Amino acid sequence: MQKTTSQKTKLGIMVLSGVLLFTIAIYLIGEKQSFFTQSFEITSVFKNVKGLRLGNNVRYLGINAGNVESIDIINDTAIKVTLKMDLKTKSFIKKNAFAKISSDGLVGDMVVNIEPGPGFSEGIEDNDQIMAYDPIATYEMLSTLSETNENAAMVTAGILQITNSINKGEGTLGMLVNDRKVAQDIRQIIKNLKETTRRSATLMEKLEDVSTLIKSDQNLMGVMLNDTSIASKVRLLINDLNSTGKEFNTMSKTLNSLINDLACGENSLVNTVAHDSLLKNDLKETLENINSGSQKFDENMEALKHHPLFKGYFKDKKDKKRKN
Amino acid sequence: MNYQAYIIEQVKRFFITVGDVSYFTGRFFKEVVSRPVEFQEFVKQCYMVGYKSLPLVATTSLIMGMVLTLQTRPTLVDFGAVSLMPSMVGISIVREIGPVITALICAGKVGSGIGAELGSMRVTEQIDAMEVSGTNPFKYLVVTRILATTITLPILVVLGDTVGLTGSFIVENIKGSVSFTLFFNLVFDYLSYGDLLPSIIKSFFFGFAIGVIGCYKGYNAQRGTAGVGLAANSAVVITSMLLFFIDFLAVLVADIFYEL
Amino acid sequence: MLSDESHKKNGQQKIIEVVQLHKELSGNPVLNGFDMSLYDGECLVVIGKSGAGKTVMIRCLVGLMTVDSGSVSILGKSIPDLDQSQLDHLRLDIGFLFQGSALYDSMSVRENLEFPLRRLRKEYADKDAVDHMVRDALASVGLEHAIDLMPSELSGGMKRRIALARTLILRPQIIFYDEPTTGLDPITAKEIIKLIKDIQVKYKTSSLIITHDLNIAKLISDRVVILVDGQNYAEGTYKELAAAGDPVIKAFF
Repeated sequence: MQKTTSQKTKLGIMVLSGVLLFTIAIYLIGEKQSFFTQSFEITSVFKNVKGLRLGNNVRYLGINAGNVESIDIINDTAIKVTLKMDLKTKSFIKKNAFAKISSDGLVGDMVVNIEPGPGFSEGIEDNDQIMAYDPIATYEMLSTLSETNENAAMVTAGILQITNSINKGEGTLGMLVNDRKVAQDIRQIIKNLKETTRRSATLMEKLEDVSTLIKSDQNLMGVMLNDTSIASKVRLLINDLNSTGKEFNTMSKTLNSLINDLACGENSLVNTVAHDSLLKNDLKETLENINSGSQKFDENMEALKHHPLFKGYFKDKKDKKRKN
Repeated sequence: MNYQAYIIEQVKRFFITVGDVSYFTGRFFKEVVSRPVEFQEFVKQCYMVGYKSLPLVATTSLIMGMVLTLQTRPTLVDFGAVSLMPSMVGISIVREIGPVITALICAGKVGSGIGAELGSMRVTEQIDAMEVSGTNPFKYLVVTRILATTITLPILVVLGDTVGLTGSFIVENIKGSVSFTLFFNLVFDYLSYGDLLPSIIKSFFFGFAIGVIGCYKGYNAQRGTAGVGLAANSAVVITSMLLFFIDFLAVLVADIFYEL
Repeated sequence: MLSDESHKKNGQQKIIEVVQLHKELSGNPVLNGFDMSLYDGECLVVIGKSGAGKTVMIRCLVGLMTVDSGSVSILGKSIPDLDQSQLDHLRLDIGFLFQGSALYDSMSVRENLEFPLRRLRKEYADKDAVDHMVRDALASVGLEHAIDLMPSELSGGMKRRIALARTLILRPQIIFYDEPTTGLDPITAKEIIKLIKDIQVKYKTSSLIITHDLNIAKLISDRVVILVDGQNYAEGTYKELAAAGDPVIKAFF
């Protein structure tokens, strides 16, 4: 009798541990497939699900957050995919999030990736439908990759050139690129530039008015023709204008290369500038102003060149150039 | 033409045996549902089959888990995919190696044991003695043993799987360094019910086959001491072959359901 | 016992009647129209050479083998017509001592003796009563001390006695003995024969003994049947047969 009791005990322990381990395995697998966690459902409609299967993982920002609950064909261009999501992620997913199907590694299963959309949006609700990005299959991805590679090669070459030139002599830019404080200075410079351009634009407009006046008024032109003091004054003015234009030219070049650096570089300055959308907008506006300003300036200069009043000056200048 | 006659005789004998085993199995199902229930003997057989096989199953599973890890690790290192190791070992052990190794070990230990025990009981007229004393020997000896193997084998498989994975973890931890939690997390990452359930259901059939063949061979042992050895031997041989056949069938069937 | 014999033969009912029993084993006829009767309280010895069909005959009697044709009735019931539960019920009244004792190797002596009790009768649920019966049966074969031994620890003669105790425990009306003295030394064999006789007296059973050991026939038989080629060749008391002139019968003595 005692023998059978101990037999029963041992057998009982064995059976119980077996059943327990089996239950644990069932639970763990179930948990991975989120059978036991509290969940909510969202849907998304794709044109093509590229081999997505029931039970495939759903990731939110790369974190496993649920799995595919059902896949239903609605019509010839729409497939509704229902996603069972872990309740814990509910507060983070917004209504404007979008889902895309991609493969998990080059040869892996398909996964649904949910990523936040741009801007602000409300939190997602149960049974909401989110936007779908149609999936890129591996081979498409590979072709895109090769294209990207070519682009990257070109970009690298450009960057190399720029870095070389920075290293060679343009010490200011080198320093600038490595200096955190410069960012603020640049902002100041750009502010000043903006101001300057605005002023120069106004100046140009005025100049235009003057030249129209000169063109249209015969009397005044006659007076001007006979008055050398005015002529010399005008020459002086044009000289000034000329030098301003040159300065504009160099300045815009510098700005261009600077902006290139900002776009491609990796240092603190880039981060500062790239993340300051206000500064970015300022820069853009300034460049536009400069552009239109110099265009107008060019036009005016052209007009002045052909004007009989200024022909002499331009001729002198040409001669001087030739001598040099 | 003598050869032809021999072949015909062999084929005939094969069909007779298959028919006999089918009848034997049918009788099991008939008797398993009728009264009285030999519960005491069933528990005893579970102990003999299950508990007594546990050390052997645990040892082989542990070694299998370790060997599997040692063998696949270098290849995975070459591919830079060592992190796939637990999932890979987990799937191989749970889906295939665990059930098949456990079943083969049990076929060797339990199947031959049943064959020899019932064979010697048959030869020394103990089975007749039981029948004469009013006990249904089929119910008392055969039904309890088949039930015991059918029910305990899946349990042994679960325990064996666990030990095998632990063995894999030990090697993985010596070679590299991975925490217990991470290892089992990775194992269960790639496991689904489609891996676990078919293998457990398959184990029931494995256990059933071991019990049926062992009992059939022993119960129908020919007279004489040589008959006992033959019963034990052919029980192991036939069971082992049958196990692979069942395994093959199980994979086909599981595939159908898994696709759904 | 012998004094009662003539009275029994005439007045007692037949408890076993075998008529024209035929049995083939894998195409070879073993029993060819065997006839035999056993009267209540009688000790019948069936003698035959090895392979004469003694064992097949006795197996047919208790339903371990099916008969091909002929009738077998025990205690008024036709064996081939009984279903399993009726047969099991009838077997409560039949004891069977097997050739090699057939003790259950995996069980102790006590469990061996309890085995027929536990399965069959609900009234044996009382442990003390069962223990008492086990000890009583062991006492009648003189092996009370062996109660907790395993069969592998017993000698051949002891095994035979324990097996006898096991058949006795249900107090059967009829006991079949299949070669009760095979494999035993002459002294032990004599002890067993004496025991069989004692039991028959003590428990008032009828006995059917199949053997090739003439000693048994000589010592305890009421009547002897000689089985040759699957048929009842001759029948009579030991003295009658021993005195017969038939060369086939003479060959046995």
